[in-house]
Amino acid sequence: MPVRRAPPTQQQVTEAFRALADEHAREREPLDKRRAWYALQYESRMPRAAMHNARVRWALAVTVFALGILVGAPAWQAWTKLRYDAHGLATEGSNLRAGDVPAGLAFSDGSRVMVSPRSRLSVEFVGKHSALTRLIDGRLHVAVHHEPDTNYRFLAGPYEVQVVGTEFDLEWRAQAEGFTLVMQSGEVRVLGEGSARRVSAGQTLRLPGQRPPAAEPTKAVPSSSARQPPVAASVVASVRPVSKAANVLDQQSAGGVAASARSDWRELLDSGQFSAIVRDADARGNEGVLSTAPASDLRVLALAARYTGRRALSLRAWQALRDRYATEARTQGAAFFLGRCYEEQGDGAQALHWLVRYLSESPSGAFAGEALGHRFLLLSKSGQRAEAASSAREYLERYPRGAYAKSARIVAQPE
Amino acid sequence: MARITSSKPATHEREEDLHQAITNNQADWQRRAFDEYHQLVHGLLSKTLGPRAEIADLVGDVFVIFFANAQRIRQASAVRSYLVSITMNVARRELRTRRRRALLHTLIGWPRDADRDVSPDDPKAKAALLQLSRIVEELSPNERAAFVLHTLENMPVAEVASALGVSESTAKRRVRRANEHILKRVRRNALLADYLVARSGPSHAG
Repeated sequence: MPVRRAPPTQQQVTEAFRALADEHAREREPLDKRRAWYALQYESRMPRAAMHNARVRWALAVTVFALGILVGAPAWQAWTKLRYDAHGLATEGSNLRAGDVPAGLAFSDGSRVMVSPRSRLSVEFVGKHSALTRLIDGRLHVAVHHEPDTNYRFLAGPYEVQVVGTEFDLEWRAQAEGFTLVMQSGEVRVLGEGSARRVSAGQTLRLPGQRPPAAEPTKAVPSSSARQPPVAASVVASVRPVSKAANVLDQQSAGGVAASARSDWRELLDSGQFSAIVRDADARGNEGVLSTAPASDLRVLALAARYTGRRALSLRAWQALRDRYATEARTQGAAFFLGRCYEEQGDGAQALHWLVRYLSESPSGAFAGEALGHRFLLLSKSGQRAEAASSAREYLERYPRGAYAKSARIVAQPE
Repeated sequence: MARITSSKPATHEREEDLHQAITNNQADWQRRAFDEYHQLVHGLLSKTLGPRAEIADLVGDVFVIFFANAQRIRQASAVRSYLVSITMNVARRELRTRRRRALLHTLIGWPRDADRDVSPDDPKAKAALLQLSRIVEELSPNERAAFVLHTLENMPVAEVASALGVSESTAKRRVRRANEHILKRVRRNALLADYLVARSGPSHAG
């Protein structure tokens, strides 16, 4: 039977351990010594030692990082930005024009736009799956590839088609048939004068192309547009074909930019000649135009100035519309556009102020969904998380399948 | 094996002589330094990294660093402690690298690095050394370095602190923790405890 000894002391453990380790080291040492000296003599050991130098390691890390930035930045930009290849389109200033044969745009996210002969358009990119296309004149066949954050917008005269993922034909003839949208699949939202409309697969929407400007209130300073025959303020919208008689256009010629009168601004706007409107206002003197123009001209000028990047002028025109024509300003959503202009300028506080104002003035207005969406995004961006969450929940209650629903669900989540 | 702290006049003279050779950049000073201190460096690395470690390359690393910086040493007495300091830094770096490598191998499912055989011919001694090494592997790299220098190499706490670049109280604390841990783990292993008691002889029992 084995004899059980007393537990070892610290000294016993230490001495035994030391003896064992020494014995092992002694036996290994001669062989390892030869190998180590051979390696020192005949192998280039300095690079390995240099790798252990902190300075060398830092220099290597910085070099790798810089190379990563150099290579990664363009790749990141290419990945995060939408691109397109134009086939059969010629550039005309910032616009694209199709020749006598059909042309096309192939977007990097798989979306396709077929452009009919002699059509004119411009394309701006907003994000990875977001683009703003202005159809100045002509016809497009659009097939938008659906992604969770897809946001394609098509401006055609005073109308805007918002797309998430769908296929349709869009035609805009300022001088003839006006706006025609033929849906083939999916659903789009059409904004314009009056309330927003949803158009689904199989439906066709026709809207008038051009109409005389609305009569101005009596307090307005008389102008050339005030002499136009008054018509109803709202555009007749339907999802069934409207009679061609109803769409008969005012055959007044738009004429040259220099000769255009204030009453022609609507025509210029409808045909996409935004710069011409702004140039005309500049030539007339912006102060005078803002203080004397009728409500319809102020709105046209504000939109044209926004489209051409003249945000300050756009802000002043919307403000003038609010100051001088309070009722019209409310129906035209001036507060909403003021909010959007300030947001585009990066002034979140003012943007929020005007969007909230719009929502209080027109809680069910045409832009209420957009305003609610931008409101919670601005609140979230400014760090007001509780308010942003509450606003996002309000958005989801009213627009559970809206364009901002995905973002709203994220913002509305409790932390 | 030679201990680090040695007050023999012959050793002192050799150190002076070697320092002179280093300072004057004599042709054979590297070989002389290697011959003089290889046993010390090898022993330290072997005890710190365990009996199954491949240490020839690490010994080379230590001497590459030493050769690159030796001519900056002002005093002969500092040569040895400088070399000890380099050796322990290399050992600790190797321990950290091993841990990272082991984690990576576990994550990607590779087998562990092959171990080399343990030297002693006596199977019991071989088994005891392996078990003690496994216990030492449970220590952190810093505690292990302090344990090797103080307990196995008899280096005074002040020198341990200097070699490891820490205060004396920190060095003392690391040595104490390491010793306590090893003693506790040895006492739990009856066979190992019996073997160590038997090996250390009856005079130490108690």
